[in-house]
Amino acid sequence: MNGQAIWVAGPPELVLEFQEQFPLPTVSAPDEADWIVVLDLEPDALRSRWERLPENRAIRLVNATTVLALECALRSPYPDRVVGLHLLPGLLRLEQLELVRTELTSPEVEARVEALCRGSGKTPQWVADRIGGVLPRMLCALINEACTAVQEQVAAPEEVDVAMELGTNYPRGPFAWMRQLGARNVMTVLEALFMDLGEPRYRISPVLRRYALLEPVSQGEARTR
Amino acid sequence: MSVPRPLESIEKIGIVGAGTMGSGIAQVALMAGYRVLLYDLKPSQVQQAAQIVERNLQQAAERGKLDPEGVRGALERFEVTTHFSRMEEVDFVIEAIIEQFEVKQALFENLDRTCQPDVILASNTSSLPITGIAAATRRPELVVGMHFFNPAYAMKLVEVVRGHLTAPETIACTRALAERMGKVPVVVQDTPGFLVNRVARPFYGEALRIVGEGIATVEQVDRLVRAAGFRMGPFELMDLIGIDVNLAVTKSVYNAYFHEPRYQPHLIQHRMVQAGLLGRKSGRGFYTYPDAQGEKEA
Repeated sequence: MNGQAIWVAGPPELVLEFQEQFPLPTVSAPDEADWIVVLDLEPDALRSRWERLPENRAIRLVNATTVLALECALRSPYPDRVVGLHLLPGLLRLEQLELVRTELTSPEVEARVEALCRGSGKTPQWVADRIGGVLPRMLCALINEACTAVQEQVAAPEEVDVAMELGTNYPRGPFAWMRQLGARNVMTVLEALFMDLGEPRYRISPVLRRYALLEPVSQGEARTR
Repeated sequence: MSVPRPLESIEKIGIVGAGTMGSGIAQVALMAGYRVLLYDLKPSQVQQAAQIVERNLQQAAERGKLDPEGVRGALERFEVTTHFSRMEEVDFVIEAIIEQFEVKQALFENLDRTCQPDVILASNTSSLPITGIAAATRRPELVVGMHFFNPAYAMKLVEVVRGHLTAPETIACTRALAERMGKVPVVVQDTPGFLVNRVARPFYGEALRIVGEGIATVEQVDRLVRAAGFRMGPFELMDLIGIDVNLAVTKSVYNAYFHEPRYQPHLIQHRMVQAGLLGRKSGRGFYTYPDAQGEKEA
């Protein structure tokens, strides 16, 4: 199989983003696909979808932000054909893309994934198979710290954003980042980091938790809940 | 409890400390139309600062931020001195001396004795507790943080730091003064690192851990972070700030928070400082800088 037919599943906004960034012919069932892409961020949702995939030789791309790519590879019919990505909403639109190979990934599959990225104008950055990767871990920790500062009444959220934009040249403040990435997603990444490393630095701020509860649920997600 | 001198009657601003921040703040105040008295202990320092301020005002004129008349006026309103007693003339004080708590406390004790009783004493500290500095004076209600960012003339933000005993009138006056200086004030509580330096800790801390744990290289982290829209990646930024300076801020926040693990400094930074790899200023940090002013090697 050397075709480009793709089957993408996961949270609607990530699926849309993927299709927009990688405009390949899509198929309606994973059985017919040359590429299977699973973008769920919530570990249980990801694992349950992963278990239901067909036993074909499609190259599998998995959002390895909260579940290790290696775990997914070991639960695949062809563990050498699995590559991870570190993704949160918006990160697929960046020019640099975090990719993850496991101990089992074959060089041929690596090369094909790399070619796919370059074909869409993205520079692949191969980073280690670790929960949170680089950008999700940094951005979520930053947002959590901003929430902690608000919790401690250092300043209000709007002021935090103004201060970080004007005091550090961040492209946007932590709360604006939170709105882009989604408060629930940020919490999911922090939960996974906390589970993985057991360090109190990833303890979720109660302010973040409230934002996550108040966040509107998108149509697509509501259906699967 | 004294009430601060009203904003409308503030004409002359005293700035203590003629280093980079002191000169930068002097320029900002002059461009906003205030009279400025810049004090430093060392005659060489005040002379140098006077030249820097003059040059920067000329440059501001070249960039169209000020007309030649404006430069002349600003220079007429500008005085430097090595006589501390002249601080009795000023309507508002901004301190920008070395970041050492005992030194600042001693200075504020002297300012308290010398300045008029209704004069606000503001500190440009980026990391020391305003409440502790205020405790050295008999007017803690008039002591406030006024944290400018470097370079002071370019960075819009001023953190106005509310000490434990700072009066609301002092906050209001300081905030309004910052606005008159063309800045955007944000009022923050007197917590370690205040707002910006505290919220920015994970930007460096997580990046150091990511590299330390072998997840990605320094170059990869910087590239990814820049791709996300940040002007600089954490490592090139640490090289610019100075790895020693960045480590000192991290340690200060960590210690002031009674060793909260989130702010724990990283061994990589500590070792680099020990090795004299301080960033751009030493020619080598996370990157190598072949000539001191040059661009980093690819």
